Amino acid sequence: MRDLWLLLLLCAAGTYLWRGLGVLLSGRIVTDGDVFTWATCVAYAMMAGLIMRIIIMPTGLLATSLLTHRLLACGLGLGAYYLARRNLFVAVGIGAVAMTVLNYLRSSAG
Amino acid sequence: MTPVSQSSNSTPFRLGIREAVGVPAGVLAATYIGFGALANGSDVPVWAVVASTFALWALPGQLVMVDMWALGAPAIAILLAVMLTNARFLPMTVTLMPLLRDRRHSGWSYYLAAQCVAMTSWAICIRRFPDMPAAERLPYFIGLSAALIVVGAIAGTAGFYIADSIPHVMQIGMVFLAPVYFFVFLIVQVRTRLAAIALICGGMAGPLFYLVTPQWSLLIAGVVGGTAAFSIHKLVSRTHA
Repeated sequence: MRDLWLLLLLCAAGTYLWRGLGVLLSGRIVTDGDVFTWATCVAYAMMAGLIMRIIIMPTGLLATSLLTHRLLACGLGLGAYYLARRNLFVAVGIGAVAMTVLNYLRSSAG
Repeated sequence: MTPVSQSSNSTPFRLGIREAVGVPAGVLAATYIGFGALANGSDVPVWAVVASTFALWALPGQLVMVDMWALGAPAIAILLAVMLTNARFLPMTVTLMPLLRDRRHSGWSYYLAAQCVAMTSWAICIRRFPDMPAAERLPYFIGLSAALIVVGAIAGTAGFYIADSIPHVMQIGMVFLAPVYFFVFLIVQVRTRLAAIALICGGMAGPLFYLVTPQWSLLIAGVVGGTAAFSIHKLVSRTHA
């Protein structure tokens, strides 16, 4: 175990730093400046980067599934969101069920 | 006129707890079940699932931490990536705090409330607060957030243990919960051209940099992809201005 406790404490402190600073600075700064815009871009890009990497090049258990199945399940989840009148719960459920079914069909066919 | 009494303080707190239970808590539970299952698959212990839920209270940051830790990334790279992922809390807190302020609350209570700032509660409160008396907002926010945090911790633990005891094909569906949630959520919540460009740049940079350097890929993808998106946005704005 590589000092997971210490890492967790550091990450918690680093995360609270933003929240605490937010209280301190509220009412004193404008949040639509260039620095905020850039930080928003980085946060979005990092999240999108993580999710696309997990979908395209997963590690662990997901690595045993097919790329086409993962993409199809994501597409079905997205479609279900709009068909279910913008319900995220339905979208997530359909995506996960689709993944399970696609894998089941593949394992029973092979 | 809101009477100042014990009950006026406990009622909005309970209202917050009640309103947390529903679609927001359902979606949150599903993603935390997925997070628990993913953590299990990455050999992350269950106490870290629970502790990170209370201490970070930010699923994207928790995912980043667990994912990079499993890849054996250096601590400094993990810390920087988690901090950049969670930097959104600064503007979110800055915009939420003025709505929570009331002279009846003591100063430290805002710093406690700040720990509760996260995507779900923030989105609910920004929509909900205009119809709520200012004094009731802080206890409502704390109640709402406390309920969501407890749901997240329980769901994460459940996901961790369920992943061990169900057939392999269903495990894959479980560990897919969090990725499919963020895939759909990130796409459907896009309101600005800037956000769309940032998602596309980051979505391409993530897998590409992973091929070059797995351990640093997320950090580099975020900074490079984000900066590229910011530059494109600036260029486009200038040519249209």
